[in-house]
Amino acid sequence: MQAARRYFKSFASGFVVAVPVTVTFLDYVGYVARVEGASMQPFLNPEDRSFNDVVLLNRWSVRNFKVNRGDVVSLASPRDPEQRIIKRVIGLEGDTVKTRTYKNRYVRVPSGHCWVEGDNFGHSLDSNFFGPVSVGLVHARASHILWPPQRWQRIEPSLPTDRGPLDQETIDHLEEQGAVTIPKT
Amino acid sequence: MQAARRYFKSFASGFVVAVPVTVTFLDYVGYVARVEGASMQPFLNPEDRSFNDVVLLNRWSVRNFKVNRGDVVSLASPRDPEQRIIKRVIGLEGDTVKHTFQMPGTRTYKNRYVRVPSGHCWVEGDNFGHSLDSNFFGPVSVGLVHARASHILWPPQRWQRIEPSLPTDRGPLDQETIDHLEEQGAVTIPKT
Repeated sequence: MQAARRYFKSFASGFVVAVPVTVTFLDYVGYVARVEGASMQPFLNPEDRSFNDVVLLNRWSVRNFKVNRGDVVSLASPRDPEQRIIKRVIGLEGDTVKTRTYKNRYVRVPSGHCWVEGDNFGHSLDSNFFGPVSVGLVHARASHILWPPQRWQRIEPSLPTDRGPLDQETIDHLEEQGAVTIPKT
Repeated sequence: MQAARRYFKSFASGFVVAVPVTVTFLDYVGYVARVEGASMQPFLNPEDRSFNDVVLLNRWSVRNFKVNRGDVVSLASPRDPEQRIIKRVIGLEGDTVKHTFQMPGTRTYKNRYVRVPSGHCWVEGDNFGHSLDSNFFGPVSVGLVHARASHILWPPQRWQRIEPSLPTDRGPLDQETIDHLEEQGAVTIPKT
């Protein structure tokens, strides 16, 4: 009886310590998550596979909200804070992007915001739908594909060939025409 | 020497445990913060006092992003994610709100009336004209809300529980007014 009681006490105190330690690790270092949906095809969850990719989400790298163009990030959806979406960062604050299906053709990304898109054009609810998103909504950076083993890889920041911020010459030209929308934020 | 080493080991293991326990508490239960600035006057940091209010910020109550009209909340600024601002929630998703003013020199909404999009809220500082809030940057994503200010803890004379309350002239419009405005096409529905 004595041994059982001591065991239970050790177990309980171990448990009580393990929870905060684990929670702190998941919140400040990172965790693992399965990718749902087709918005990042073919990069994530490509069609020829029947199961979803599992990625490593790095929380530490976004603790100061420093994201890079081409990063694949997990963020809280502007339309529903409880929903997490995974997209690629196409433009940062100050960039001018050519949008795909947004109400304005050319948009200057406001300060504190970024422009995100799913790689799968036409099958992604992203900035082309809800506009620039506050960087404060970015939760983690996807650093690796962990599963399936054949797809194990480190995720490097990379912009699709035809997506990205415009160069200064094009911007100057468009601004002369008054074609660049600067959203109010 | 043995005693010192044992002491050090106990200290180290206590320390290693205390950090995650404390961090988890601050992140999931709440913490205390000093209010800077005059944007929430006279409710917070009233002018007749020389020192700033200290409030209790409740993280647990916003874990599901359920905010109420009239709540005083701390949120990441849409203009700079590293900056925390404290404002009052005036409208929730689906509400129609009226701009109190439009900052001179900025691009402003065409209409005075705005429908708060889903997943967003409309926040304002109580101090009209001295607050950078939704009147300046529009509706904010609820995902940016970090905590609800539940109590003023300091100074002791101002100790109080903070109840959700809308200023008399601020709040979402009633349905009759909304219908009337919509007929005139006067309500802006931001695209999000």
